[in-house]
Amino acid sequence: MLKSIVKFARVRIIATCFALVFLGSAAAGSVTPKTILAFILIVAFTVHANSINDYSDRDIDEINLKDAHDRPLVTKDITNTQFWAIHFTSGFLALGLSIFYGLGGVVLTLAVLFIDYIYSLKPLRITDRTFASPLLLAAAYTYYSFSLGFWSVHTSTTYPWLLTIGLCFGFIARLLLKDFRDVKGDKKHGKITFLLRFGSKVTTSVSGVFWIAAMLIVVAATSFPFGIIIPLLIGSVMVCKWLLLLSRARSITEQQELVAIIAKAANFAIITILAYLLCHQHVGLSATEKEVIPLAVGLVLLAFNWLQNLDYVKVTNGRSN
Amino acid sequence: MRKEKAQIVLSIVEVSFFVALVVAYNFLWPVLLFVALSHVPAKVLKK
Repeated sequence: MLKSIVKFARVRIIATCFALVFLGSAAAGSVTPKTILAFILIVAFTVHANSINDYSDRDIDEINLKDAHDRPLVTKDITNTQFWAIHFTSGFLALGLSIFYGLGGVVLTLAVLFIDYIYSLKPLRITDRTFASPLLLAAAYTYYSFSLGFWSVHTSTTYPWLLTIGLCFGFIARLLLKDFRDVKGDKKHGKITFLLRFGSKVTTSVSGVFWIAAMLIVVAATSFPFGIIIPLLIGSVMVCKWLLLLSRARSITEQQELVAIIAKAANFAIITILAYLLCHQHVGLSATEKEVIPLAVGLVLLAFNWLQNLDYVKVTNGRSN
Repeated sequence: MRKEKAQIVLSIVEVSFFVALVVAYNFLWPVLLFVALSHVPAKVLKK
């Protein structure tokens, strides 16, 4: 049963959400024990969201993800009773822990738990709606995670709306790519995703536009520091190149590998912004160090991402030329 | 096999860079945490 909970939690989604929690707390000025507590809240929320989504999509997943080990309902690892116990316990745990983040935290947690249902279940089932699905999901994940982090710190700082909007745009860019591995089942069950409606070229182009918009907004929200502009600019060029390869990729394996590379680049962008905010808030650093440290972090991450995927990109380039 | 070994070495070098940064600037530990998390191998997650 514990294994199933971990599977519903999806480690990579949690890592990204928790990075957003840290970003929120860094934007507010520090990291507190409540920031760490948000980790449990995020896990509970993610289990709640993914479990109901897996439940409603179990028939589609049996086609798309028949060999996937991270779908307990497909692999029949848990009974019906265990499933509902996990689902409701995670929901109540999230709601209970949200009390530590004030009235705003409780209201927002209730809202995202409600969104979990309208996203996955009929009559609304927003997951089937081409445009509303990535927009709502990105808004919920970004605003919730970032706000928990921001509210975990007692601060008089104004809520950084511009930064949140930039991050939300980045999340939309990423979410537009999530349906590449699900095409077969989505088509069979009439789930008209953005990818199915417009094809891979338009989807990757729109994702690229959102990515660039996100980077521009983030740069503007952080007052145009060199430490952020340079790595994000280079990162955007690399992501555009991978998106181009993705638009030409034919096999699901190739597409999944490229989506994973792009997702990693997105996580690295978050880490670079986090390094900048942490340095910016740290009083002991000189103005040069505040620019150089995030610059070094961003460039090192990009260099390693490029080196780690060098062989793969070479092979794909050869195939598509 | 050679490619896998090269990737492991690259990851170790990368994380070492961040460990050095965290030691030098001890408030940067959240950054290290995410570098480490983003390197959880796909094979481990699939199990």
